Amino acid sequence: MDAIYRITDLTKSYPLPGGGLLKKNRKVFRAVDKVSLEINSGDTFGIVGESGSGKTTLARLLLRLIEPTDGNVYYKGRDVFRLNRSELKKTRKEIQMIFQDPYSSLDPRKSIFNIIAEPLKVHKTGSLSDIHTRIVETLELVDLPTSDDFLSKTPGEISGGQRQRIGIARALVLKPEFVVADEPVSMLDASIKAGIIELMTQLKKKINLTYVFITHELALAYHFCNRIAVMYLGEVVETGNIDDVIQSPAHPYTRLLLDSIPPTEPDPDWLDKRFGKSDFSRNAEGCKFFVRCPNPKDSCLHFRPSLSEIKRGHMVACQLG
Amino acid sequence: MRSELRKIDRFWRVYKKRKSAVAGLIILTVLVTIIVFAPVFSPYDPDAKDAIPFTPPGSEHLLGTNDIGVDILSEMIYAGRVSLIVGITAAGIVVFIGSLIGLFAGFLGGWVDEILMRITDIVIILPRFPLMIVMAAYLGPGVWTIIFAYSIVGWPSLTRQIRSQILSVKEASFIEASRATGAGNIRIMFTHVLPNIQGIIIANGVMEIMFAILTEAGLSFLGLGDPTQKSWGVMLYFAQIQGAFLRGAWWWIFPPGICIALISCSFNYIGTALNDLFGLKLGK
Ligand SMILES: Nc1ncnc2c1ncn2[C@@H]1O[C@H](COP(=O)(O)OP(=O)(O)OP(=O)(O)O)[C@@H](O)[C@H]1O
Ligand SMILES: [Mg+2]
Repeated sequence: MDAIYRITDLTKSYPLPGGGLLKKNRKVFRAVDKVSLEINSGDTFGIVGESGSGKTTLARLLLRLIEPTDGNVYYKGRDVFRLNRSELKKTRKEIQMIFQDPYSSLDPRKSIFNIIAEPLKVHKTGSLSDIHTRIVETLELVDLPTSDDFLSKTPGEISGGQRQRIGIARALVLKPEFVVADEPVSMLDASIKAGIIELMTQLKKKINLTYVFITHELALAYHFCNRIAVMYLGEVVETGNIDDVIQSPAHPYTRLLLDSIPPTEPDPDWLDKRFGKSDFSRNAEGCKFFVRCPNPKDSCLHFRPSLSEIKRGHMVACQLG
Repeated sequence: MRSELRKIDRFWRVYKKRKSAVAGLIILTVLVTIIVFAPVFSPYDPDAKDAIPFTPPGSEHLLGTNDIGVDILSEMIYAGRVSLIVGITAAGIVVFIGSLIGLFAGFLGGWVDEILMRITDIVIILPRFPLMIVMAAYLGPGVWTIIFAYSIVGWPSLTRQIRSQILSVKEASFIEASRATGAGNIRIMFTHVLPNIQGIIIANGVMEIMFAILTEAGLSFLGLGDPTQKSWGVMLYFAQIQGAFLRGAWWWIFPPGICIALISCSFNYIGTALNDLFGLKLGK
């Protein structure tokens, strides 16, 4: 198996609000923090984590929709951030994304036809009638009507479920090799959600692609993925084959997710009482999960664990594991 | 097609609730109809100088005549053409320049934004009217001079507005989605960003027409217009230099003045309403 994506020490920092005018005085926080991963060709790779853990930021970096602060992303062995404009455009034909928000990710002023036609037009794949044929094929694939009436509608005139299907069609119309699905159902009602999940399952069977499937529900990842990475505050805390991770979770955060205990916000007072230290921020030197860990050791406050292998292909970033 | 009609219908239902906007639309429609069909509505040839000069309004000349015996009503109707055409042309140029600069500055950001906005800042603090007078005096009086002078100084405030709209549109995730398909900046700017602020551009364009008509009237009144292409401002200019005020020929002064006021008000009311309506819909 060869890696289609290799990610090394990938970091994306954003300035924290406030701070001085001088750049070097400004505090930053890392939305994605030294992430290293390999995604193999044919994988359905799950990225799981709660809101704000940096999943979307990581996806954006994979597609070079934003530039990293540090680290590299290799797609088929080539550094994505070193591609020139035309190489990047060619690469984007192969890698596509399904966006989290089916409402804002479709241009409200464009017809369904034009939305799905855009990737084809950008890459000049053929005549208008070729484009039409291709769009009809793709709409059939995602179980949407193919009538001219439907094609001329705007996103405002169709339902949320249909919108997300349009988003999926747009990602598939170029016949990509790699698709990132960023929480494709998180913003949909439960009733519609099931249909989209069913569709994604079918597509996975029908089209042989490499998928990255982002979700905050471990159960969904279990349903879809063969490998998985669990993210917490920008870091990958555990990664491995889905069965290994689900059956013998090694990181307390993974266990927390598995128990589906709703993760709570850390209680700062508790921390002060215990350690008499009030300046504990996300950027402190210790383990990021410390404040929420069910049974941390004192050393966890000063030592940040990095990923280490506990079993072949199963890695965890925890001293306790 | 049907969806377009539905949109227009929905728009009209909100629009018609505003009394001032509806009044503006009615006044404008009446004025524009008269101006466009000038030959139908004007009782006399606006160039014929065969009536008795300074005739007060009466049954033969509804608004009287001027110093050389031209029927004021006819002259006024034809002058409306010049005022309107100059206003629309100047506003069109300003909207074009303003939208493009705002689009590039707002969307591209970085040093492009920095440079374009510094230029905008400079132009915006220039004293507009004196500068236009100087330019017009230097280039010689004329319609194109006025359009040119207005275009040079008129774009910055529009540019700033467009830019701020673009800053919010460019954060929408459909922009990112388009980039992910492989689309470049130019494509994204012209096929996604611009169409999504077209309402704001139209609303501002309508307001610009008002400013341009008022500016044209002002400059022409000062004698910087084209004496052979009479606009309402040029009419006022002649009224003033030919002693209409001294002779008490109010019928020569009031009609063009009222026309300027009416058309400005109607553009203003319509523009304000459009701005509010399109502002509400933004992002949906
Ligand atoms: N452009 C930005 N500027 C500043 N902070 C950002 C920016 N983009 C993301 N962030 C921050 O980075 C963190 C991670 O965001 P991200 O969107 O990647 O999370 P996520 O895991 O996708 O969450 P969700 O499940 O809510 O989509 C968040 O705290 C977010 O506020
Ligand atoms: Mg996200």
